[in-house]
Amino acid sequence: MRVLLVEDEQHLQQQLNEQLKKQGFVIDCASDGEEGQYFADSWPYDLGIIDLGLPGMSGLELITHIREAKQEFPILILTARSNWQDKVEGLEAGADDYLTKPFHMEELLARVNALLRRAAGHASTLMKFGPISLDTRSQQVLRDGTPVELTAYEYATLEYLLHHCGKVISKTELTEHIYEQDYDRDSNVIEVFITRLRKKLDPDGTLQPISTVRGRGYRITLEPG
Amino acid sequence: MLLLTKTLQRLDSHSLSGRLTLASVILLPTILGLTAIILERSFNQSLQTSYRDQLELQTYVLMGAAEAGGGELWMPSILQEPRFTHPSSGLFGVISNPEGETLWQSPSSVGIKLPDTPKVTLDAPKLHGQLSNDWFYFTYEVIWQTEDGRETPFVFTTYETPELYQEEVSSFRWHLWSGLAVLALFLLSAQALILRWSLFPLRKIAEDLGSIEQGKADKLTGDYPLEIRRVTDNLNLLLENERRQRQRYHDTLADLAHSLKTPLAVLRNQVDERQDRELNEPVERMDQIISHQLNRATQQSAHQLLKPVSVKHCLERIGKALCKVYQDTDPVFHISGDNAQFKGDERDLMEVLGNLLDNAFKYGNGQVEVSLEDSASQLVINIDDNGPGISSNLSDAILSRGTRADSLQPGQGIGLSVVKDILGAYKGQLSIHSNRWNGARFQITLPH
Repeated sequence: MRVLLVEDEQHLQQQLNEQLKKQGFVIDCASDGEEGQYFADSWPYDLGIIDLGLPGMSGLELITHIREAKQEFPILILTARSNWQDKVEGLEAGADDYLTKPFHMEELLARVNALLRRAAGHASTLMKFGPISLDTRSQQVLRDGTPVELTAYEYATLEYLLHHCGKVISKTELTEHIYEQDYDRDSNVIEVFITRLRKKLDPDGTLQPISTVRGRGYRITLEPG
Repeated sequence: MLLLTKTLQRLDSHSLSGRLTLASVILLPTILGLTAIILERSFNQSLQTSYRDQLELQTYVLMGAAEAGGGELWMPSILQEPRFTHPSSGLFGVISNPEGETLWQSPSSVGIKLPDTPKVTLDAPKLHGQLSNDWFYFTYEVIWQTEDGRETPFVFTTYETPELYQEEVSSFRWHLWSGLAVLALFLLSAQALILRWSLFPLRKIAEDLGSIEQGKADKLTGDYPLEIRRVTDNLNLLLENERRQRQRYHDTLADLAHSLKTPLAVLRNQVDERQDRELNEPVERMDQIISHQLNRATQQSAHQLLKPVSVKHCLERIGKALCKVYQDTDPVFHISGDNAQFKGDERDLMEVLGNLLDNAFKYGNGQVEVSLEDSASQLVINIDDNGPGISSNLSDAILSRGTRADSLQPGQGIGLSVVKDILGAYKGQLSIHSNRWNGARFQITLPH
């Protein structure tokens, strides 16, 4: 999952960057509104974390711009002023949730995951797709209740596919959402992940959770629920 | 004398009108009184003179009527002046010789003993004045030459009793004093009106200051008279400086709050990561202080924007925003009741409603209902949720002053203390009840 972080306070930006990376997210950090706007215009994101109190272009303006550009990814507002007027304005402008500083990192991660699930249409932390379940809180994948061992990238790939369950996801799209900007990408690596996922999730080949759509990409065949 | 100055000093400090009124109340009667006295005296004097002149004339009348011859004097029985004839008319005439023997008495003096008058002398053949019994008199000695060549002296004297004179004096006195009394009343009321008119600019300043206090105006605008203008100009300068200072203070504190919060967030995350319990408490405490105290300080104390705020509109905005945030719980949000107007800062209302509604969504079970009851004296807002409710112990803890945040759910403490502070500023109240779902009802009461 690709996250856009717009936070002017450098220490906090670093901390958030670290923590989110640990969770397997791909992060782009911007220090002000203009930079954030540039990123938002250039890359597809799954989530945005935007501080309201930015120098220059305000967080509110950035959110408005993102929504006007028809970008619909969920946005979490960070605010130092726990001022309800600002929070409501931010939510009215297009944000989906808010968090007041200072906050516990667990709370931020929980909210981020909740927003991602919500965007995918799932209400609880456990996303079920037949025999396969994804626990976004513990970042575990279960097959019939038994945990499946996945590497970070394998998890990231599966997570993205499951969040966009039913849709055809191209290799390029996958690459953009699970890799850092300047990582040396090779589209064959995605194929390797998919193969490995199939082997781990469906050892006897009966489930066929991921199908290949020739020339277009991959799709989860399972139904949610 | 000391008492008078002390009284004056005391009145001095109380009011300008008092001073002016006192001065005029003392001065006016004094002036009018003196005027009356002077007028009365001159009137009396001229009246007396006129009476004396009258007597002189009457004496000449007697002299004209008298006929002398052969050492005898003869007077007609009826004189021109009827008062000489009527008994007890008050006007009497006597003709006597220098030795004092009465030769003739007017019929009006029958039965009355006429008093003696001062003797005339060669140097003063005419004498007039008032006797000890207040009678006016005029006496004149003449020497007439009769036909036979004899020179006989005669003394003509007329008297007048003072009743008529005194009546005139009384009448004049009555008219004078009553006229002056009316004049005094008129002057006093005119003075009162002049006082009000003159002091009107001062009352206008008081009114304008009232407007500034209420936030309807920023400075003293008005065409004030010269003498006060220095005061008003200086006052406006003072207000402008004070306002700028307050704005600076507000901005500095807001910046301070903002800049402290973020490093504190970093610090807090570090503490969390290292699981340092000892450090956690002071960090938590710093957080509370910053959130609470600086939030209070940055609230605008002067309610300058008194445009009435629609309570329902605020509720709708916050409700919609919270429904978005808590959409995972599928919340149902409903507003009912009258649409009331809130006369105060919209941000304050948003803060109060935002905090309480957030709690209702957070701790409720998906249902949040707000009902408004507006009356002439107060506005009541009830926020109900279908959550587990709040025990009476916790209710008391929440509503009492100085409750520490760590004894309540995290996040609930700070928000509610802000709510209490803001409501206090508007003289409102917060109370906790239960509702028909057995959940919590937070009730706000705001007087109008």
